[in-house]
Order: sequence, then C-alpha cells, then structure tokens
Amino acid sequence: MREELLSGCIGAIGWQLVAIPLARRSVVRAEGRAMRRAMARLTTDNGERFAVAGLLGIHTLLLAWGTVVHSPTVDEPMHLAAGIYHWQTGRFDLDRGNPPLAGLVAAAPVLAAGPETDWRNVPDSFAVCVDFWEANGFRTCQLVNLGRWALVPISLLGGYVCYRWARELYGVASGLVALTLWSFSPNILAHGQLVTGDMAATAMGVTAFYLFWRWLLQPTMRRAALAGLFLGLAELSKYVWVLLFALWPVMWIAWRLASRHSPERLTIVREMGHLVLVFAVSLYVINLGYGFERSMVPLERFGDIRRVLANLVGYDEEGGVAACTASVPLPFPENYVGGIDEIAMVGGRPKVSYLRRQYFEGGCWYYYPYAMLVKLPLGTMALLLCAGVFTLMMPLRGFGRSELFLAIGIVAILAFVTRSGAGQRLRYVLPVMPLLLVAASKSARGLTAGRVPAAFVVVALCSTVLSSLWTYPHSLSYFNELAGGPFQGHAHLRESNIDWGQDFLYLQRWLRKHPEATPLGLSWNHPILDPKHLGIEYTEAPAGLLQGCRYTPAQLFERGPRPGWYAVNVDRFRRRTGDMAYFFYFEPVATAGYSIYIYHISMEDANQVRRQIGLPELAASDELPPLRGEPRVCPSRQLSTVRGLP
Amino acid sequence: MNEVPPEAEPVDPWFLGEFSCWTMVVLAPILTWINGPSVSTDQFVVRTAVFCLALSGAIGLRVANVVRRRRQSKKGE
Repeated sequence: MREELLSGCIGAIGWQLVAIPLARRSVVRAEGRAMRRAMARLTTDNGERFAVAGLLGIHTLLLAWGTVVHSPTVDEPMHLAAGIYHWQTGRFDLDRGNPPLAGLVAAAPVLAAGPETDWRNVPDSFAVCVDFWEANGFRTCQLVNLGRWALVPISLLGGYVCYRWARELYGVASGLVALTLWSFSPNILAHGQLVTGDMAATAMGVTAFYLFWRWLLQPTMRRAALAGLFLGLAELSKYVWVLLFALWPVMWIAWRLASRHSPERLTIVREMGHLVLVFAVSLYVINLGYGFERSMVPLERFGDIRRVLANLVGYDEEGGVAACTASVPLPFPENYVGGIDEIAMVGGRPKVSYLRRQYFEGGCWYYYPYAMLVKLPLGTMALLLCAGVFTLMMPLRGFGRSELFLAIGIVAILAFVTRSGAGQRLRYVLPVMPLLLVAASKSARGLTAGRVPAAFVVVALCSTVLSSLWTYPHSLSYFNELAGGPFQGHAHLRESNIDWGQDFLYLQRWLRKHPEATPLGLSWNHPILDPKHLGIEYTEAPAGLLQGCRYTPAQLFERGPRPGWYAVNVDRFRRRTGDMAYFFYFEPVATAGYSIYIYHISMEDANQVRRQIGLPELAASDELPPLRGEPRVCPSRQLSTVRGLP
Repeated sequence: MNEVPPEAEPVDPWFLGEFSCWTMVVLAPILTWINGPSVSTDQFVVRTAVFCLALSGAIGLRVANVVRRRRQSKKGE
C-alpha cells in the first residue's frame, strides 16, 4: 500500500516535472508550426504565383504610365529611327555606337504606324534624329511611346530572372524581395520605360549571367546553348557585354578552383567544349541580329580596335600584336566591330565627368560608387548591408561559390565601365543593378531570424518602395534622401542622371494652364531636341557671363538676367561654362518635373542680381534687344573684367 | 541552393504585413519633408494613393489581428 502511494506521488511529481513542460513545449511547437505553415502558404504555390504576378503587374503599370507622361528623351528618337532604318533597309550602318536589338524591338510596332522617314543624312545619327523630329513633328511622341511599350516586356524578363535567381539561391522569400526591389527600383523604372539599350542590356545581361550560373551548377549542352543564346542577345543590346567573352572563362576557372572536389580530366574537357558551344551560339546570334551582314572582316579595317588591342597587350601600333593581327578575320559583323571602334575612338578623346559640382578631366575612379550612393534607395543599400552581414556571420556556410560569382560579376562590370573610354553616367552601369538586387535578396533570411531582423528587413524594403514611389513618375531624376532628394540632384550628378529632356510635356501642360507666361525664354542643353516640335513656343533665354571671358559694355548689356518668364533645364545650371548659373539667384515659381525650373523675373529682381554679378542695370525705358541665341563674344579693346559666379 | 538555410524562427506574417503598412505611414511625412511637395498632379495622385492604401491596410490589419487574437484566446479558454 505504501509502495503504491509512493509510486503514485512520484508519478504525480514526474507529471509536473516532465509531462507538463513537454506538453507546453509541444503547444509552442504547434504554434510555431502553424505560423510556419501560414508563412509557407503565403510564399508557395498559388500565393507565390499571385505575389509574382502582382509585382510584375504593378511594374508594368508603373512603366506604362511613365511612358505616356514623359517627352522623348534626347537619344530615343535616334534609336527608334535607327531601328526603323534597320527594318526598312536591312542595313546597320546607322547608330553604330549602339547594337541594334533595342531599336529593332522598339521599331517593330512603330513600322505598323507608318512613320515618316528621311535617310538623307545616314550614317550621321544626330542628323537623322533631327530629320526624324522634323518629319514627324509632335507625332514623334506617339511613335516613341509605341516603341517604349514594345520594350516593357524586356524589363519584365529582367525582373522575373532576378526573382528566379534569388529564389534558387536563398529561397522563396528572397525571390520575392529581389522582385520587389526590381519592380520598384527608381533606376529600373526610369530606364525600363525608354527606347534605349540600357534596359535591354540589363535584362539580357542578367539572364545570360543566370543561365551561365545554372550551367556552372550542372553543365549540360542545353544549358550551355541557352547561355550562348542570351549572351548573343546581351551583345546585341550593349557593347559593355563584350566583357563576357573574357569574363566567363575566368569565372568558369574560378568556379572549378572553388569546388571541393577536383573534377576529372574528361569533365574539364567536356566543359571546355560547352564553353566553345556557348561562344559559338552567341556569335551565331550576333550575326543573326545583324542579318549576317558582312562578317569575317580583317582586323586591319578597324584602326582604333587595333590600337586598343596594342595598348592592352603593351605593344606599339607599328609592330608587335597590332601588326601580327592585321589580317585576322573577325567572326563578327562589320558594323558591330565598327561600333566598338567608334566607341574606342570616342574614348580617345578627353573624358570629363561631373561630380559634386566639380568637373574631372579624364573621368573619376569613384564616379560609379558615388553615383550609386546617391541614386540607390537607402533601403536597398541597407538590405545589401544586411545581406553582407549574413554572409560574414556564416563565413563557411554562407560565402559560397554563387556569392563569389555575383561578386566577380559586379566588380568586373564596374571596373570595365570605369576603364572604358565612354563618358561617365550611371546608366552605363545599370547592368550591375540586377546582380546587386540578387545579392541584396539574401537579407530576406532576416524575416525568419526573429522579430528585430525581420523588422529591419521590412523597414528597409518598405522604405525602398516608398522612396521610389514618392518620386514616381519622375524616376529619372531620383536621388535618395541622403543626397537631399531630387531637388538637390544637380549638385551631385548631371545629364541622363537627372535631366535627359524628359519633362518637356510637363512644361507644355504648365504653359497651357498659364497663358500669361509668354513670351517664354527657354534654356536647355540638348541641341538635337527642339521643344518647338512639342508645341512649346519660346525664345532663347539670355546667357550669363562666361567665367574668365571679357565683354564690351554693349555685350554686358545684352547678357545676364532680364525681366520675363523663363524655363531652364536643371542640367544647364551646372554647365561647365556657368552661363546659366545666374538663375541660382532667383526662386523658381514652378517646376516641370524635377528637371525644368520656371522663373518669373521682375525688373527689380533682374537689376538686383545684375548689380550682384557686376552687370549694368536695366531701365524700364530701355529697349531691350530681342532674345536670340547666345550672344557672340567679339574681341575688343574696350573690355570689362567679369566677376565669377558662385 | 549552395548552402543550408539557418534554423528558422518564424515571424507571424500578419504581424509583418501590419508592420509594413505602419512603416509606410510613418515614412510618408518624412519623405515629403525631405523630397519636398509634389511637382506634378501625377505625382500627387501616386503619393496620395500610396498613403491611403498604406493607412487603410494598417488599420485593416490592426483590426484583423485584434479579432484573430481574441478568437485564439477564446479557443484557448
């Protein structure tokens, strides 16, 4: 009896000590499982498909709206005209500085609309662009819009590939994070809606990278052929991807060296064969893109390419490599190599970069890191940082070959573009963006790593989305909060980073609402885009004083601020000559987007500023000469020294 | 694909959804202060729509979360 009681007591105590905590733990686990199931429901199957379709749908809407509200940027009619020319004539000697893919895709629906064309000035791309504007007038906007819509699917492809790549690397949540970053990235939104090769290069480039990565994971003929196909398409989008012909073999070697198991000799030979297939397919696609127009032309036809080659290898032009390779036939279309030759020729000229109110002769090595620092949303940078922390926290497990692959790609593109001869603009490194977004998507692991990391990731993601939408539809002028927002953008970067002529339709609408703003003095920086084609009647705003120049008293009277209405492109403020910098003294009454500032200057305000910058004052009775272009500076003995502007 | 994911500690997706909406509601005035007012009607429409969506989402999810918690506590009782 006592033994029974004792065993009963022990049983009860045991129940208290063991069974209840176990039961509690099982309840907690059950709750955890339920939450995990809920999370899984949201991120798999239908939920995942719904999220992907929703994000791509929003991205499409954002791009489609953006295309309608913006005027054609400076380069767009040129690329579109080139695309029409390629289709109509089967020739590729126009706009050779850009491969034809984007132009061909954009021009396909435009051909059905029956555009007016004028090919008298071929192969001068700028002259053809002006002729296209002249021939089609305001209708150019509609034609460009058609072309823009045709290119929207390319941006969708880029987003989908980012999603797939991030999903395969880090899981479903990462895939969705990558797609969200892509869909709302201001830089992607800005260039995804334009008829230029930048987005095509970015989307085709990331697809080619992704397919090559998949081939590295599991080398099969099919994967090699697919990688080759998209390598060819990437080459047809932008010359920057010439880099891949050298980079991919290096990446393959790095991948094999980083492998834990040393592969058999037969495997290496087979993979080398696959690489040959990759390049053969890409060559075929490139030649196909150019309609098999004049391939296998000897290298000696392209003087600058030979020079570049000689410089790279370290021989002079007369002897060494350049002379040896003169008769080597190139398996590329003549116009493809000719385009690279043109870029190399441009690269031979002195390169000037604008950064933080300063001009740098010969470019600036930190231009692209700085441009990214001010043009990437802070949330995206925080996610990149978070992904970096995750990688460093798990060095053995986390830093795999795939991260190495991404890192090599990012560094190689940045280095190549920085070293290349072209001028510096952020859009030239747009192909880096998807690789950065895939890398940043690793931060989605924070969503399952507790409340604090999850909250950090959510805040970063939301701030990216919101920051971008807060500037939309003026995404081309986007600058992050660290840079002071889009209004401060011109203090950091110029040209296509902020003002590419995209806001003239906004100016036109503003002028319609304000008929009192006439006559309008206009100052813009893009000679091949005449706002008269967009229905904007204007005279040219008077130029200010050029720094370091001397003027006659009559010239001083003609220059500088005058009373009236003015619209000035923000890019013109920061021109190296400083001729429009006097507008900094005035407060704009309105803006058209973030790239055109509108001023109403009274006689009193004009004279106040004229006094400040050392110009003679104007009297109300003075008959001002009509505004024409920039007054000529004629050398004279009666000269006045000009004070520099801030 | 090339690595093992860390031990997952799940966070309630409903909590994340609500937190996202509140984050947007809080960030909106800060961004307006830094970026300045809208420069076009289009931008104003987008900003207003996004803010209204975020606010209604935040309130809706708050209510849904409270209801869900009450139901769970009733089931527990």
